[in-house]
Amino acid sequence: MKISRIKLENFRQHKNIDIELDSSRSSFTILKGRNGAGKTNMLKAITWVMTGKLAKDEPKFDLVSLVSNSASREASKGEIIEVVVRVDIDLGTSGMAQVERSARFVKTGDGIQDLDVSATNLSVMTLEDKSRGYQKEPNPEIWLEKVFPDRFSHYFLFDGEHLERFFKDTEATFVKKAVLEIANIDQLEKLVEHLGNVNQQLVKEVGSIAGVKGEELRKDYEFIEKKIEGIVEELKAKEVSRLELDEQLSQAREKMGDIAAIQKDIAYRNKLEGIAQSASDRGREARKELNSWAFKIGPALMLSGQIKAVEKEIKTARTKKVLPPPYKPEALQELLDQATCICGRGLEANSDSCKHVEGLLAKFAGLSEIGTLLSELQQPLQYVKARVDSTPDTLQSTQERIKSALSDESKAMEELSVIKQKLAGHDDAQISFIAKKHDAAKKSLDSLLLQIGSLERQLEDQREKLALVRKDIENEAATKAKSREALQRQKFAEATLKTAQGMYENFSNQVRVKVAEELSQEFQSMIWKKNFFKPVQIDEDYRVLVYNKFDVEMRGELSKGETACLAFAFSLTLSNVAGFSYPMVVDSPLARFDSEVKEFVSSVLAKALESEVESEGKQILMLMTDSEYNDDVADALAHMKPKVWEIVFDQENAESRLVALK
Amino acid sequence: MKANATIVAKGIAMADCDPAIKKCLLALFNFELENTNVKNPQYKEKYQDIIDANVGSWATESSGNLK
Repeated sequence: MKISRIKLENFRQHKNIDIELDSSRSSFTILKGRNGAGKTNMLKAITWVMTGKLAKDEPKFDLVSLVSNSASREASKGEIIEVVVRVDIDLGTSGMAQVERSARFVKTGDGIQDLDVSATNLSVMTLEDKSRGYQKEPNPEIWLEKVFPDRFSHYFLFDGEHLERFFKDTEATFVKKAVLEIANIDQLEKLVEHLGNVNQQLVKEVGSIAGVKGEELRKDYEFIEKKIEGIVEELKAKEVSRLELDEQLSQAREKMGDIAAIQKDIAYRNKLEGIAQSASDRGREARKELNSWAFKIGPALMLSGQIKAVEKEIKTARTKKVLPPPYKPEALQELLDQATCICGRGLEANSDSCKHVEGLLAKFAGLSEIGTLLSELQQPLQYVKARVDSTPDTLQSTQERIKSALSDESKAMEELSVIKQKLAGHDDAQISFIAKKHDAAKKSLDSLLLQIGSLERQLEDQREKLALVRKDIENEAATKAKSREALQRQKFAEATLKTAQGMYENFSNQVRVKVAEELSQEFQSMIWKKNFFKPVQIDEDYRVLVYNKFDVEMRGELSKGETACLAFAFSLTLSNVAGFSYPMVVDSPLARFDSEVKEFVSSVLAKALESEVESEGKQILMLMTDSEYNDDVADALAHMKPKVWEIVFDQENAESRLVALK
Repeated sequence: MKANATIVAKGIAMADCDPAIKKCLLALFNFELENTNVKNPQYKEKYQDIIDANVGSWATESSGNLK
């Protein structure tokens, strides 16, 4: 099965898109485009036409949201707008088909959203015999379900950004159904169920014709049967609740995972806020110091010329001995009092020497006072001068401190803005709400599992009782000629049922093992840690399990790249099991990878798909962003000769168009 | 591996079981295939007819179901 043409009218930004895909041979098409250009809506359009949903996780949606804004804006009140998605399908030897899903709207006002849905339609035209031309399928829904079962559509039409949900445990029952359905073992399952019911009916018939005791036993049998029916119904309801709770718990766990990331971001945000605050404080402190220093040094700076001149004058005066050198007059006076000079000469009163010294004391008394004052002044002058001299250094270092603080603050603020944007909408209350929801779901699930366990035990008891009553009926019937024939019929039905049950177990196990083997081979061909993982398993509950060589189950721990490989491998395996190839449409296949993994995956994926392409005539359509389809990826995929188109969004007209690149 | 209805039918045909049971199972399986897309097939009467048609050739002694 291949898509040979996709036609979109008024579907979101795709106002008028008509793309022909190569269906004559294996084909690999890449639609690249920037975020918002319309790649995801292309996937949604294909999913909508094939399943009536926009995505598996989006079964309910507002039809009005499908209408192209551009078409709605141009339409006047009362005008009809039709959203149409059509895919032409090449079914190989089974012919061709055109599947078209449409929705009609009436414009009710001037606003873009002023639209009422007037009709929706699905039509399928099939071409089996060219001479007869296309014929309208009377039951398009049934035809579509048969050709492309909705139950496993999401394994072929999927978004690479949500692969972590691909294998969650709650999906296991759907995986089982999908596998059994495409292997047609579900028909055998139905056979077993129907034959079981018929067999019970036959047991009752046997009882009713096996005399009075037989009739009593039949009543007992019917009573227990009803009891069992009640328990089974209750179990079914509990099972639905269990799946819902599993889903809630799984969502809460995912969110808890997100919470861990959010909490990490919050811690980082707080750290950045601390860094920004500290840098801001440092800057403010440095500016304050600069201001205070400028305030103190300002007058000195203004008078620095005069200060330097005064100091110079003092030095010169000392050199010229206009000012006495620093000395102590009291020491001179002591010499006079002792009447002896330090050189040993006598300084007797009224001697010439004494008079000379006394003259000196008198002469320098005035000058000494000035000298002392000047000496006292010289110290602060020197200090001020030193401060003035150090001005350029102080200025530079303080300015550097301010600059560094500003730079740190700006860097922290820049990172803060990114992290704050990332954290927008998350608050403590929300996180606490999710945590409470998680705990509540877990508690309810535990309690529900206990109830299920108790019901299962009751069911087992009742079934044992039923088997005993059936045995009694058999024994009673065997003694009477008129009921022997009915008993023979019932025993035959029972023997057929047992054989069918054995076959069902056998076939479903065979398919499960084969699917697991094939999945394992595909997965191993894509990953590089081939020796690290054991073969992939699918357990009896159809959960996909990946053990490492130490026997630790680690499907949930796989890297994004490995999860993607497992998802691709699973899709390819289902396609093989189905017996014919479904087209694979993948949005953002490499979006969650770093560049190295991108190159690696595109290379191994190309290799894995290449074999598919050659053997099965596989069709692959990948919707990639520019960053995904980079030069490395383009090189790695080049040998698959992809047809590359670009979806270009015309901002003025708010619509996309396709441009063929190669 | 390509599992499909033919393989399941072949599996039944090749099963090592009583020929009457095998014939009955194949007939029942074909009925289910024909009614794949019927939500509530009226199977009870058809099943009983198929059982009645095959029970006569059932080797009860060899199966050991009835004494």
